[in-house]
Amino acid sequence: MTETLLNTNMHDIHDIQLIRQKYVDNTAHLSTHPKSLNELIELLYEAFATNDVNIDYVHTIMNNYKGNVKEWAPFLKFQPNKYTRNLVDAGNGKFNLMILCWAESQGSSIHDHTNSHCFMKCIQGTLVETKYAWPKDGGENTETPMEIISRTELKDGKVAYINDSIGLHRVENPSHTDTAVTLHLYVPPYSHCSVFDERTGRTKEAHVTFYSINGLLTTSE
Amino acid sequence: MAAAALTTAEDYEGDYDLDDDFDDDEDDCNFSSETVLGDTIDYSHRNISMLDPNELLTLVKNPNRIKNFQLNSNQLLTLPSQIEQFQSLVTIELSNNQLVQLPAELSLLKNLKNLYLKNNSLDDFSLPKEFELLKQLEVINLGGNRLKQFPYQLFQMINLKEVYLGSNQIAFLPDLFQTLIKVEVLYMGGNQIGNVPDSIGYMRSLVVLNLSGNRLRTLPRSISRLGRLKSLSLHNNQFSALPPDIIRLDLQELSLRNNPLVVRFVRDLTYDVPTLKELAGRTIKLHKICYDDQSIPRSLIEYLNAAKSCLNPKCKGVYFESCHKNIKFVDFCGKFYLPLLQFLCSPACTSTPTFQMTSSDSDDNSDDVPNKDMSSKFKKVLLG
Repeated sequence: MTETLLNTNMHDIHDIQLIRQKYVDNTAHLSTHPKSLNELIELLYEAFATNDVNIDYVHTIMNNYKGNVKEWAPFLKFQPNKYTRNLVDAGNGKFNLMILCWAESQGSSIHDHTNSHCFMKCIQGTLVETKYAWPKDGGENTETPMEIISRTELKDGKVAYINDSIGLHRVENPSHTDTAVTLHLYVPPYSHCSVFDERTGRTKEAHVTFYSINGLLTTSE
Repeated sequence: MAAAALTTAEDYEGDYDLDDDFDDDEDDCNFSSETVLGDTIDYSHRNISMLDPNELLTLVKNPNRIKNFQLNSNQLLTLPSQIEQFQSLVTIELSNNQLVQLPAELSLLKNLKNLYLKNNSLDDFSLPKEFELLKQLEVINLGGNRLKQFPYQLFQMINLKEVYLGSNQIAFLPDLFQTLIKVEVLYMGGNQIGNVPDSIGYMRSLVVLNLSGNRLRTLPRSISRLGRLKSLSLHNNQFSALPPDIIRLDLQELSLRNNPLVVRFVRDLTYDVPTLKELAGRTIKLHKICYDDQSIPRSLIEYLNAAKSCLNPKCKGVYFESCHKNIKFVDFCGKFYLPLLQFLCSPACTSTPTFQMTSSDSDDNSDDVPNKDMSSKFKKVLLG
């Protein structure tokens, strides 16, 4: 599947052939097994070189990337009150690659992904992803508990994928003794999303921030 | 490598643990050159089930030089008593072993500040009574063991700053927390605790309190005295409501997901029928009938003056002893809904379940729910 990023014109039927050619050309020559974090980033830049992005290829390299703790060390920053988001690469604005650090029992709110693709790879410990259905629109004053679609465990390098058409999710570290770490890729990046109240389905806008960028702590809290 | 288990001032104790690296290829270490480095002995990830004291003392010429002992990720069942010779030890990392017992000689290490015992097989009899002598201990991690009781020795360790007891089987907390006045982090998640004792209110240094994954239905009112508390984790419990005092806290994070309050409405709680005295008192107050010590006894004046205002902003009524407990979801920061236990004069005063609390709504001065500056007090409330 090829995704055309924003700011390009929609192709009509005549150009589907061209798209299929690009699908083959774009990433066929690239490695599918990045051996290091730097190589993963390089391959991502290659895959994002044009506005036509092969999302399947992106999923493949996220899956196959193994990595090791030495590579992640600058981004492993844990906080006692909340999970941290640590930007690894800003991808020229086309993607964001980041590492999230979850201390014991930490979890996220239920959130959407603002029309972006989200790949989440568990690189240490265990995560539980709970997917929720979008609240049905019953009007301003209705409050309905949100419906759980699925609950899956993520560990040992497994990659989860979500976008708004699939649903919403909450991610949490279920362990009370061990930390967990995830590698996230967002295509394209976003700085705002909606968070949802599980009890009522009501939603609010949230500003998404980084705890660190390139290993350096951001000053805002 | 050794730094992974050490806490620094700004880092949370739960730093990255090499043991959990799924792509670990650090099996073969050069035994002698990397084992002892400066003031650190690194025996971690060695597959050892026993520590031979003679071998250890041969390797280390001067045990008094050693400050850090990394023994994590092995199969140790205990430590030899010769550990007492390492008098300069500040940190002992024994996480991820099979410890069933610890020697009393550990308590003789007068410089020991950090003791990591996470993910072992320690039970209520494994920690020697002498442990209470470790009065300089600052960090203790007993997560992932088999404790059924809160270790009483900890109450004697008055210099403790961080206590981790996650994932055990503790069902009861003794009311002895008033000694732990230096503790900043208390992690009790993943146990079977049904009740939090009042003495928790004395832990004035507490910044992080994790009670997630237990069987809690309520919190003691003394929780509002924890003036430094910034992070309160209550998710995965049995909370249906919280004491309104919780608003007095200056929290940055509050997690409440997976509590009954989140997925279903709570019906009204019990209502005791008021006494005649109460009804008379209510009438006097409602109709603003004048009274003074010429007309009624002093004791009744005091009774009438102790009237509490009904929290329904549209009700001008009052109550004395007989009140109706209602759970009201209060909107904070325009963002999330926090369920507070409200005291009303009767079930008729229960208003709609959710409403926006603004300063114009409430014209009463009940001190059950302070109505000024609430949005500035809560920076983030995680309910959903």
